[in-house]
Amino acid sequence: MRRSNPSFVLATLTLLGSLCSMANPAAAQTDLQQDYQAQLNEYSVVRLTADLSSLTENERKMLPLLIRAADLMNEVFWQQAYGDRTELMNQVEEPAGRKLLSINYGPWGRLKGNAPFIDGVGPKPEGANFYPQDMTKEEFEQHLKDNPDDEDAFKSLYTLIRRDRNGDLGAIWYHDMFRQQATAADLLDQAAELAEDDGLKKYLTLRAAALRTDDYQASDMAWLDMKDNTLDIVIGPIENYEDAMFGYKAANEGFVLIKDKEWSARLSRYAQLLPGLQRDLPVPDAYKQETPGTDSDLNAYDVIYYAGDCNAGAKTIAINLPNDEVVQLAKGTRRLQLKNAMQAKFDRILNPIADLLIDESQREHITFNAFFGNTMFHEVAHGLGIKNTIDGSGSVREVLRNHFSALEENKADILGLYMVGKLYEQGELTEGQVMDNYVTFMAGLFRSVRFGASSAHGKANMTSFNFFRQEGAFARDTSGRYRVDEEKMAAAIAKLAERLITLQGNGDFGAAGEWLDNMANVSPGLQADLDRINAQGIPVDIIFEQGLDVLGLNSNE
Amino acid sequence: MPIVIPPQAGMTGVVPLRLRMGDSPDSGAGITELLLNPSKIL
Repeated sequence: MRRSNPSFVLATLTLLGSLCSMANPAAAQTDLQQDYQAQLNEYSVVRLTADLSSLTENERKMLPLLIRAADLMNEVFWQQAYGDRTELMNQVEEPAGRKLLSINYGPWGRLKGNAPFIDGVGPKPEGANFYPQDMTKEEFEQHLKDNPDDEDAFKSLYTLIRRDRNGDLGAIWYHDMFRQQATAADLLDQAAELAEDDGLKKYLTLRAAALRTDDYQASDMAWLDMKDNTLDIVIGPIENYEDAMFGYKAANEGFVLIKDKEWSARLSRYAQLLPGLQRDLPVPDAYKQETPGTDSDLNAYDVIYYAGDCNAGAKTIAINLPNDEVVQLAKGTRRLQLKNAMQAKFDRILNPIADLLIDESQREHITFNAFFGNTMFHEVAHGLGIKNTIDGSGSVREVLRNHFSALEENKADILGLYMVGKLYEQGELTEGQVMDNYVTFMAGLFRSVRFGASSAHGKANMTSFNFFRQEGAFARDTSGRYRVDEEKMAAAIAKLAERLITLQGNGDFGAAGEWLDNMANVSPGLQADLDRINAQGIPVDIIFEQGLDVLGLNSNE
Repeated sequence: MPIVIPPQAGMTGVVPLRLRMGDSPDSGAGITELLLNPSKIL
């Protein structure tokens, strides 16, 4: 079945609105301002603070350097996502419009399927500004056929594609294109001189070198070796979501982080429990023969600065890095739970959604600990289950191709909840109760699906919602409030876990597609509830007031 | 041999902008994997 494209519908409505307003310029101006304001209202403003009292004097001196380095990623990301920020800003007078441009790093609404919100701006190019605007996929591919030696540079995460003076395609290294990377590197070197932790000193020094050369591997290794640091910075070209044309190009970002050592200590033991949990999975033995690794590093942080890609549109609350698979194989990954950002989304978005949609008698089960736990166990649960098909035909990822991601995200959600249930049974979790996780997960489904039902996470959410409904794991009363049935929810989680792991282990591409076609849809009833959330004016995401002033640090320090 | 590419509108490239083929630090291997495995939660 063909579904209407929301971006197209939005663009059409915007165009119709523009045509109607042409006869009356004053009305058009008002419409525009109202539209800007409506989009701004989808974000709740949060002051990004953290407890700095435990920092040493040197660490306090390092913070301004790290924040300035991260801030430079804003300028780089503007150019990767759009182009000339100043020129665009000069075209818009209304403060609300300018604010929207800043939030979106360009004239396309990231919470609106990238619909343009500035008159005269066309659709967002698939390849953002990583490639020439007039380049087609075919031209890129043809160039590589004709010039096979160019493949490494053209497909590198760290090059832009541009035309030379003859109109031919060429690649340019980020460190050549973006002088901000070298400036950021100098700041990291200065911070390294102040660092008291040897691991952090080494990482900062290697990361500075990486920003000058676009060779990040040694610094990624050093980042994973670093265990006892309090301050951290994730900086450079990292994620490739912004390049929707090929996914070849990484976008620059910066997070400045303070590790919450007390929370991190609480998290550290969960990875150790994975082998036992794997043996307990509710699937036949053939589907649980693999042994999950226990070397993953799981930590909680407060973020004090977001810049670039991670600060655009919906904000990141948990990350799993690095992305370099050579480093992943050598040293595993680090999972970062961004605690203060999660708390902000919990307070400003999840709680109001729960007030609207969760039965009064179960509101007490909406807790921050459960929200934090569900996000964390989702990440941990990626390590459970099955990575290779049981018939030896290959990795689940290769065999299920474009269906893999939605199934994998759903598996992580469901096995995460399954783990929580088991850990309560085993006495490993003692604070709260499993219903907190179930009810908070239900409310969380409504929060997450607002970022888009067609993404991997969106499909995962819809599958859970529809499966739980089929199994009677929740009931919706006539006033539109949801109530979770603990016993049926536990049974539905086990049944869905079994279904997902079996689909993955069987590696049946057709069956996986059929499953998603049937399950990963927004039903009319759910859409009506999402409309109610929007009508209440509950924000979709958050934006930050952040920086040295907000932290109470003198910028001259 | 480096290819000189003129800066494009909107870019603050260092001049001259060089194209250095063959010394890529990253071959792009595993990109498909990255696309299929979201490494962040919103």
